[in-house]
Amino acid sequence: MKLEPLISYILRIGVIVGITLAILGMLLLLVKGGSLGYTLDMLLDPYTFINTCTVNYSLVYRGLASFEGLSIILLGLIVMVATPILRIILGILIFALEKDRVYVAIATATLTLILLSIFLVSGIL
Amino acid sequence: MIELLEVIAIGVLAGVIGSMIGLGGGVVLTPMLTLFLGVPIKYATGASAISTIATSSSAASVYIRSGLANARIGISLELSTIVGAIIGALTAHYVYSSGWTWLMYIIFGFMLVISLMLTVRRREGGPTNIRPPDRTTTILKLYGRYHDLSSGKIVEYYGVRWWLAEFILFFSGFSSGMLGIGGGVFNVVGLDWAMNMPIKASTATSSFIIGATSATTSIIYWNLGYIHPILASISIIGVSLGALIGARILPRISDRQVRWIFTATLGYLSANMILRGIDMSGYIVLPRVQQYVISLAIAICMVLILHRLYRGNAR
Repeated sequence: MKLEPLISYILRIGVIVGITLAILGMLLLLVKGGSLGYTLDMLLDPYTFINTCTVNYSLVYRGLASFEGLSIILLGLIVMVATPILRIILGILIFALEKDRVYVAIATATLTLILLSIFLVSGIL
Repeated sequence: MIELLEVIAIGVLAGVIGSMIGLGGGVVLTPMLTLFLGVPIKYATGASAISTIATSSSAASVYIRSGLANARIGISLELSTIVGAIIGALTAHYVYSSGWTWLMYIIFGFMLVISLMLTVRRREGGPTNIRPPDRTTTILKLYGRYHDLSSGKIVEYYGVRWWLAEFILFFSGFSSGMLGIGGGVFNVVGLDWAMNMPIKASTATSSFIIGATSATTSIIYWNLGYIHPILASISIIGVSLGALIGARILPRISDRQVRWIFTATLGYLSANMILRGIDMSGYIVLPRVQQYVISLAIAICMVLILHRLYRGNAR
């Protein structure tokens, strides 16, 4: 298997899905005039308290089923952030198939660091 | 309330300019959102970090397929950009929580000055003194080849001094974590200068690396609450649209016109960010109108300097 075409494919899919979800979420937000109990004015305020740290994630998950704009938007953002990580995981798999030990080690170290950063902030701060 | 159309317009503008000058949208997006729309700098850098992933992913997808970006070299160098991004983002958090938000404007302004200087110097030409392959070249298989469409030839190259590139790319990661940009300016220094890669391959590989760097920055920003969901998603839409338009404009304008746009935009934004920071610090009071006028004057001076440089080169 060749590494390059697969990486190219996964990056393109990630961007398309991420942007589609962002647009869909925005449209739902505008049509419904708000989401998850927040008004449109609150969500659009540049100084809003509503951010990735303060949203109630159990509410966000439930909102996915009922097409809540904010839930869809957050899902789109997660897809966007996950795309480069998926690309690294794919790299590890292909390097392993090619028995390229040096690069399996490098890509695994890279992945470990990224995954570490997910838990880092919630842990030390 | 953010005017939706204004954010989209700024995103498109940032995407067009960013894709033309090859720095991604973030470098232009954050200053424009903070200076012109009054968005808090935390939220602007958060929106920028995520938009940078979008532009990097779509550009890298094309560059990887065409063979211009080198996946192995990219993956091997992401190691230090990720470490840099983690430390940078934690530093940013320290600066914000110490109440030194004004300092971030000044740092951002100086980062724009550095970007301007490095990019103007870069276009002078490719690597000058090519070094022989070293141990890292063989151990890490730092080889590549691509089909150069402008000359129609297959270009073969190899990378050297991997450790030095790794060291330099730590700073691109740090700047990404600190300011929510991609860090492309330092990437290309590491790839062109330290590794001796051809300019096209290094630009393409840099945009591949930026994806992983900005993803790390975004993850930490996400947990720190720097991501305003609506602002970030509108920015992604705007910047991606802008990058598409920029890619269509780029072949139609000359290298020299790109430099004018670049110098004027970065000159203005860097001056305005520094002045805004000074004003916010409270040590010196600078009314907005004066900030705009001084920044405009500085941008005009920079463009005039560039004009003189061209006349000097032409002789």
